[in-house]
Amino acid sequence: MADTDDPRRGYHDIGGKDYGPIDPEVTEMKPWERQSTAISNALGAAGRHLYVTDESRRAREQMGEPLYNDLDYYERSTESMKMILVEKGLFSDEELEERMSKIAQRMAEARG
Amino acid sequence: MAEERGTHDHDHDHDLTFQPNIEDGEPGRYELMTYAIRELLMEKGHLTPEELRAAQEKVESLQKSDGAMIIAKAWTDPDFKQRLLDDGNAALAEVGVDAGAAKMTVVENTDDVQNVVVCTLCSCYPRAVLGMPPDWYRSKSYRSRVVIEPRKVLSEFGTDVPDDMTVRVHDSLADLRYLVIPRRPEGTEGWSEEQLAAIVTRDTMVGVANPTAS
Repeated sequence: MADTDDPRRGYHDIGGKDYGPIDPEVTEMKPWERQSTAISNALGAAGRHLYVTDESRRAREQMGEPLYNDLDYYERSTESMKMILVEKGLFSDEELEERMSKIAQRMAEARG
Repeated sequence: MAEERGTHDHDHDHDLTFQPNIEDGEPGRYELMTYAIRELLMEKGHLTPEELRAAQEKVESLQKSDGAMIIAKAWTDPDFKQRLLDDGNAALAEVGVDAGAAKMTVVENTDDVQNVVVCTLCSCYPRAVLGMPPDWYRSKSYRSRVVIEPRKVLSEFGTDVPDDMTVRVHDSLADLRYLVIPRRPEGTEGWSEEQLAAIVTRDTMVGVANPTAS
């Protein structure tokens, strides 16, 4: 049996460890999770190849253990997509953060 | 989900048509990031509203799984089942399912073998057939444990596998996906494909449960 504490193993490589009981509850995808998935699929669509599966996997393995463990599944997918798109120069981190603040503001105003 | 129909004016990319449930309180960081990525990609011409709408529709339609009909067809058409086992991608293409670039390996449960699918490294899943993976499939608990104590994990799903039966756990990859053909239960002789499809659930095609004739 493989040594599950082997320091050479990546933090994503968890087969054989024991993360405890499985929670069988299945939740619906939230609308933003569907949208994030749709954006990533659209960018990876045949003929586009702006963001493909292997890049998404590599980003997850590169984001670092604290972030990987801290984020849930769709947060991790979104973080991975962001990492690759910034890396490709489609937009910068600063641009993105600035836009996120603006959107937060717009949404707060819409909530009243 | 707010729906956008008809012509979509690019000047309206900043509106909140995609933003549902604003009553639900403040959006999280990754929700905001998703909307910001969408806006920036559209403004810079990397993504059109049409492309996004089509992709959204596809994600939504994936939730209504094609898998059950495929299994029902495999149960009633031995030649089709053989083609699925020989070359999953090609057999799925026959019935109009694009399984994508990853290889789709189809495995069959028998009286002696129970197959179970996992992705220990991430959450690779046969999305083209089963939609998005359920929470437990993505959980660290399932990913870590099913490869060392599959019988115990299966029993937690209410599936008890007899000791004289082999449990085969298949670990997926970005380039290799698995789909399980469950065992057709006794008492389903003469059933139509529709009747059969109704007893094939997602969990039975991942291999953590088995269909029953009730």
